[in-house]
Amino acid sequence: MPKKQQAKGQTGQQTKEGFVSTRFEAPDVPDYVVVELRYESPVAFTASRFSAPAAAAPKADKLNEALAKYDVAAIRSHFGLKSAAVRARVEVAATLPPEPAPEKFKDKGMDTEFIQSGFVQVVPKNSRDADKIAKELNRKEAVWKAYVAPRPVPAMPAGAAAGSRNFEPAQGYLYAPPNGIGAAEVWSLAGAKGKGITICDIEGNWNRQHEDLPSGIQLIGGTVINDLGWRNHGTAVLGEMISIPNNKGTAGISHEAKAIVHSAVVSGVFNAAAAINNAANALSAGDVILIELQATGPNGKYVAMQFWGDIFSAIVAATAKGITVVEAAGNGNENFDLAVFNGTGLQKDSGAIVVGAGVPPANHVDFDGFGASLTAYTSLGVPRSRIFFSNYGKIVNVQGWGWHVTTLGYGDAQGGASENSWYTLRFSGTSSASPIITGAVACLQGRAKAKNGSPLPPNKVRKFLMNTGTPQEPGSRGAANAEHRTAPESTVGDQESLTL
Amino acid sequence: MIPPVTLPANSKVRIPVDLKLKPGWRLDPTHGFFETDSGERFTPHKDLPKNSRIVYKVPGLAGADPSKLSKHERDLQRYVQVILPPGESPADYVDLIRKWPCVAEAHTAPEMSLPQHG
Repeated sequence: MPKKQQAKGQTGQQTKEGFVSTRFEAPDVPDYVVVELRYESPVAFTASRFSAPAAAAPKADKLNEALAKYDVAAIRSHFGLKSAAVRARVEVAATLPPEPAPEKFKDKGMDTEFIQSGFVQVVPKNSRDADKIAKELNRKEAVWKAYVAPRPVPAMPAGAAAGSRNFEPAQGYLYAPPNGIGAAEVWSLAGAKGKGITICDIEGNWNRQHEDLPSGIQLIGGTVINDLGWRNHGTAVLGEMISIPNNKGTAGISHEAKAIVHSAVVSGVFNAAAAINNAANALSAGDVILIELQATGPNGKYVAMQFWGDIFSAIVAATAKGITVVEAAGNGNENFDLAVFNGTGLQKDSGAIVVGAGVPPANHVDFDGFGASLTAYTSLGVPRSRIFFSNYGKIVNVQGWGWHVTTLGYGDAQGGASENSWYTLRFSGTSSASPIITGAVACLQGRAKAKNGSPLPPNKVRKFLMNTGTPQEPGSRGAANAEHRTAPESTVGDQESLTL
Repeated sequence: MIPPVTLPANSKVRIPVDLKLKPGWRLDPTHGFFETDSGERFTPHKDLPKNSRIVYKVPGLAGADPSKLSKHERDLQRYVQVILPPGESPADYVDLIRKWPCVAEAHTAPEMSLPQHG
């Protein structure tokens, strides 16, 4: 079968999920000036100059004098009329009184072609001259109006900028509790967008060139894992926290925070302890480390990384420096309070905020009208209950949305040829929950620094979130051991949680 | 359900054996042996395949003065990785490494994945 071609100039494409827009690239065309000659000015033009019969020659000369100061590439009919039609306008114009009304002078040849013949394109070789030429020509007697031609962009829905869609309405986690964390409601407070706070995300790869991420996100250590899945994941995590709020794409919870990243692969092997230690050395009190990893524990299920002693010690050491560590609990449906974990990091306090995955509110994907065809996630359980795959136990402190979080990457919400404009509304797991908490921490610490001059110690940050978050709902469909959960899990739901 | 994101099949990331040294022991990374302040020394090369590497997990802490470190930084100082050459299974060496006189505990390092689910 012949390969399907994308239509020239098309700014979107058909995917399995539907028609998605792609980034609009401004065409490489020069700016030019549109000159509207007065009806009654018997001036015509050639490809290089204006011309007129002897009686009106001074009018044409003044136009040419003005253009002589610039390097003009072309003079042509704005409506593509042939030279005969342009020359013909001189005879008609010579018979017209000042400011003739077209409806009154149709019988004198003031027809559509005549009117169009007075529109002239003056194309300078240097686009920067267009504005100056327009200003000069506006002062000439033969000219009714001259202006730089507007640059058209594709028509977009209200509120959207050219290019990517605005996915902010689908980011329910930004908004008021009990569904969201109330971040957007406190952004007006000084520092509450995370200003002055640096977040270090530890995982494996990121698309740091994504259109909705700020430039300059530095990889401070480790080797990235060259894999699309890992790259999408890191991009999605960063998007929840620091994507740029600009009416396209998404808005990060703490979009004034700075982000840096560290790969968990150090010297060719996984070494999260080294990554945490390096991150802690690069950060200051008040900053945040996010551990977006899990690994298989003794029961063959995924557990949180602090199970391993070196990682536990690295977290404690970072926390002792005043750095808040946020750690994904993992997706093993594992009970950390089981005897098999006695004496391990899963039953000790590392100082980290350990984050479980909760069921999002039932209506969040319906914002802006998309997402309606998605899997019925409400079958996961009631909003704010633990999702069946989330790990649980006394060390799990809070939870965030663990299902269908709208953020960057993957391309299911918006695809296209470039990963830089990919968006998703399906980022899930303790992976999606942890950046929500991390963003909340950055907002809280940014606010603390702005208001009090210093950040809160990590243990107070954790207590604050646990005490002020909207309580977790009981019940978790599909979770055999849900009743064993005794941790004071809660979502960071109250606006107060971010208000000092 | 989409399974968690694990290492790609063509990844060159190796899984080492992680070990924790007994108190008082340290690694000489240049010569690849373990020693104590009292002069006791253990050379592990005979137990490992050629081109194995032994490195501190957190090199930045390895040479630090313990008196200037916190309790947990001193604990972190004791962790070492045995990185085997490609094709060698770390599980095959864990029991052997546990018998080294300098080792408090040893296990195959966790193979990390991403906690995505959806």
